[in-house]
Amino acid sequence: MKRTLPLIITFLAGVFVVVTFFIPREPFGSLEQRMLVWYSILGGFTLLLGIDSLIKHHTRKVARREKDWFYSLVTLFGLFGTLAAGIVTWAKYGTPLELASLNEVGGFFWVYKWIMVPLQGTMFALLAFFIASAAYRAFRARTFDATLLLIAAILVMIGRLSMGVVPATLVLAVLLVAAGIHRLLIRKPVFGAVLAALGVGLGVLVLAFPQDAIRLAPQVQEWLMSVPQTAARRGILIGVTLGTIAMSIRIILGIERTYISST
Amino acid sequence: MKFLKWLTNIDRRIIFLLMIGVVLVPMLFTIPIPFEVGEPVRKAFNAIDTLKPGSVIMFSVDYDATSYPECQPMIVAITNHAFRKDLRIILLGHIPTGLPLGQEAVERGAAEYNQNHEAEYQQAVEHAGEELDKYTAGYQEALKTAAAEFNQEYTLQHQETLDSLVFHYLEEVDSAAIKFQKHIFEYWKAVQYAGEEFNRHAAEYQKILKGDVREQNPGYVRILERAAAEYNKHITEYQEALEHAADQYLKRYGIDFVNLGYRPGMVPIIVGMGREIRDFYRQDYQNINVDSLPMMVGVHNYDDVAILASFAHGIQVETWIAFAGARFGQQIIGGVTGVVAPDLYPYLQSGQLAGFLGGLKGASEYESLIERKGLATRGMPAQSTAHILVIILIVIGSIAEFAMDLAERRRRR
Repeated sequence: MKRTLPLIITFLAGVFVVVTFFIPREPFGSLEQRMLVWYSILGGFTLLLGIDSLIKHHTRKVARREKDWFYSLVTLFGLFGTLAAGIVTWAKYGTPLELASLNEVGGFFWVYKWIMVPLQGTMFALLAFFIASAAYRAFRARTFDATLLLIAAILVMIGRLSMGVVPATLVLAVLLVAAGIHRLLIRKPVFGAVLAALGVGLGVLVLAFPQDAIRLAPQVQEWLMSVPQTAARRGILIGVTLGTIAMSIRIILGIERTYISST
Repeated sequence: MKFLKWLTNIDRRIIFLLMIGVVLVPMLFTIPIPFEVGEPVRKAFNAIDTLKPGSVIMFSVDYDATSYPECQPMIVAITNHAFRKDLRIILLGHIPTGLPLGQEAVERGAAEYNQNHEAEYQQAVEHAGEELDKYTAGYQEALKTAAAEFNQEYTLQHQETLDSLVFHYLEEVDSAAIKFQKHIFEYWKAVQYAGEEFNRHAAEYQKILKGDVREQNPGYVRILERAAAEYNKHITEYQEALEHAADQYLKRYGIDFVNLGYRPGMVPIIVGMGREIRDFYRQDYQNINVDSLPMMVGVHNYDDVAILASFAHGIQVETWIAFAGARFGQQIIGGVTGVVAPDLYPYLQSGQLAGFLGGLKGASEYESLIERKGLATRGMPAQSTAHILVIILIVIGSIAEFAMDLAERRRRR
């Protein structure tokens, strides 16, 4: 019964949502709307569950002096500090969201604007450094496939430049020539000759017609994105959607049961 | 050989330092750069540009501070464009920590618009005031003539009381201006309330005054009444002229833009708003009843929203397309980070997306279309130099690896 009841509820709810989605006539239309409102309210309660879980986890960690307990203390301080700031701002202005922007901010928004936003921004800004380092280490034209991927990636990057298109394209030409020579020397004459010729041709054209190169770079990037990239993306999209539909049917019919048990 | 080995494995701290350098240096200078505008951005621009004045555009703020550098310039640019086209903006969001960023962008956009039109607004207000002054002088003249004709001792008292009422009214307006500096909508409500109070007191006063005088001199009262009726007509005209000037030259909360705030549960809200927005958003972000906001009158569901613009750093645009676009035929544009942009090309080609802005480049292209240089235009050189550094590093790494490989083969032979 412990497992059967959730399965029945899931089946009924799933079928009901599907039916109301496809039949907008009354009473199904209003029922669907009512269910959507309930869903939204339930969503609010999940936030409470999340807060409860967060407090329990970190309080336990601090109480038992577990590894890195100090960071848990910082988390709890952040949580209750923000809550206190919100209550104080509410008492002062009637809403914690008062004076949300421009130059004047209430306590709650001071925390948001001067602590949360910079912290989040800083975390994400680190990505630039790691991407540069990772791209340098991982992006090597070792094989035919890797070379193709590398050329496409560099062309997309060049297409998104607002300055330095000519030198960046020349750098790409140098890479192509080097890759071509390398392939020629390791006795892959056709691929090597093609790469070297491409590199030389690209370099000569860019030097001869720099303005055209600047004009064409975004168009090449746009073509790469809207034709080969989109074709691949569309295939993935269709696959994912079919998978989602299959999974939904499995859940509604009770074949997929992992959501009611961890085993 | 040692150098080649070093080139294939440069210390990451050196790369980090180079990255700081190439990002910081271009930020110190303003570099004017012409942009080639891509098709997705041009389509998004046209979708907004062709809307009729007064149309509603809904902003969904689905990013937070992590994507601020890419998404914030987009929302700023589109807000600017929307206000120029006299579109009205509804703000909502599915990431609670991101919505204030949208609020800030729209408020700043409104402040910028108001500042740009301040001179025109002041001119219109002054013109309305001058018109009223002309009639005020006529009214006072009529009172004086009547008093002289009928030798009334009440005239002075009449004038003094009226002056004190006007003084009180102006005091109320001033205090409202100080209290609601940033909230023009509340300010207008306070001014209107003060005006109603003034009219009520003035009417009561006139009633008492006339009651005293009527018995003594009905002819005098008739002149007073005619003058007051004429004057009231002009006061109404004056207030209408002020309101018209504000409509034309100011962007005000509740009238030109509203923020409905955050509600949990993205998909049910998107689907449910197809039927009635108020089922999920009865109050705005400050708990003001949505029905009391003039802008929301007649706005109930997607039929009343011309375009939805989702500014996102994840799959939110696709969710909008799947539920609001596919089911309700809502026209949608996207403003997404560079990482998300490739996901949207299939939707652009199928016509499910009217256009989109991808990354900082997309934002800068939009800025060039509206001829307003903003954060994106300023940020593009730094992004470009960072890209060039990455390209150079990749090329150095690859060439060094080719050389190492050849050396290794030679050694083995």
